[in-house]
Amino acid sequence: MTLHDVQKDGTNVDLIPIDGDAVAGTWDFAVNANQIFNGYYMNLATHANNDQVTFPLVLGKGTYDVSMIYITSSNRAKLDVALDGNTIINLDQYSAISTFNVIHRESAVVIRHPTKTISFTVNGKNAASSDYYAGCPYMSFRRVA
Amino acid sequence: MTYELMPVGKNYDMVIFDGDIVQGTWALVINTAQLLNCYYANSTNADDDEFIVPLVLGKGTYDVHLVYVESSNRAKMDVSVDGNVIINQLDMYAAATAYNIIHEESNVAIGGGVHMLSFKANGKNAASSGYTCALSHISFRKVA
Repeated sequence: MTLHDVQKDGTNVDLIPIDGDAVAGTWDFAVNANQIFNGYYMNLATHANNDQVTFPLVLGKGTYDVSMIYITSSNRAKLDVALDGNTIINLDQYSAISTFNVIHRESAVVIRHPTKTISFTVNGKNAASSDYYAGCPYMSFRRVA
Repeated sequence: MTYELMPVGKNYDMVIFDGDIVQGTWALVINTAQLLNCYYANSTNADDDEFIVPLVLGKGTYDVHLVYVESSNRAKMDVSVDGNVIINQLDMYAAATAYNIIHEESNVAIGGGVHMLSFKANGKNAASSGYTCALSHISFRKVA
């Protein structure tokens, strides 16, 4: 089976980030009963700009609605979400008050070639944020065309 | 490393936490007693409340498992694929709240391609006080 065989008709793919390949920084899972799946995956120890973690993720060619769920807080970074190096979302996780289970949806994301890897990279922060903590969102890719 | 790679036609697991709202207000509710620490429910509590999500499956026959919360204010719920009901008026009513109830629907035939999966309140048990639906997870397990 090749990547092109997998999901050639497209298939929804969910990613629960719990243990990725750290490229920069230290990423860990922390339990928190307020959050979906009872926790979150974050650069807790390093919380530095350019921290990065990757996961294998195979998506077939197609158009997807991408839903993600994460936590906002006053010490959060902006996070680039990229497929094979191509950024599809830049997510500002800052808010003055911590909020769990924030849902962001990116509609009609076109994937022209089957993908192999998804990466999450800390890329700056909101001017009001006090730090570069960034949580990897739970990601759901739902093919619509 | 945990991720899901879903070859065409194999099992598909969907965490229910977000959808396109057709009617009502649906939102994620955290509850530590429930699978995945949460469920997705219609706070509007009205008949015909509905949301939809895209679903892509290979052609085949599937066993469908739905995990939900039953309680005294629950609706009956239809689950349909492209308008074809695959779970008909699932009665989620119970006098006492119970978590992680599993409903299985066996041998559901689904064609290949992009579909729209719908969850819709459709009536209620005579004893129920409302039309709330509370769901966490649905899985499609290919059997043929």
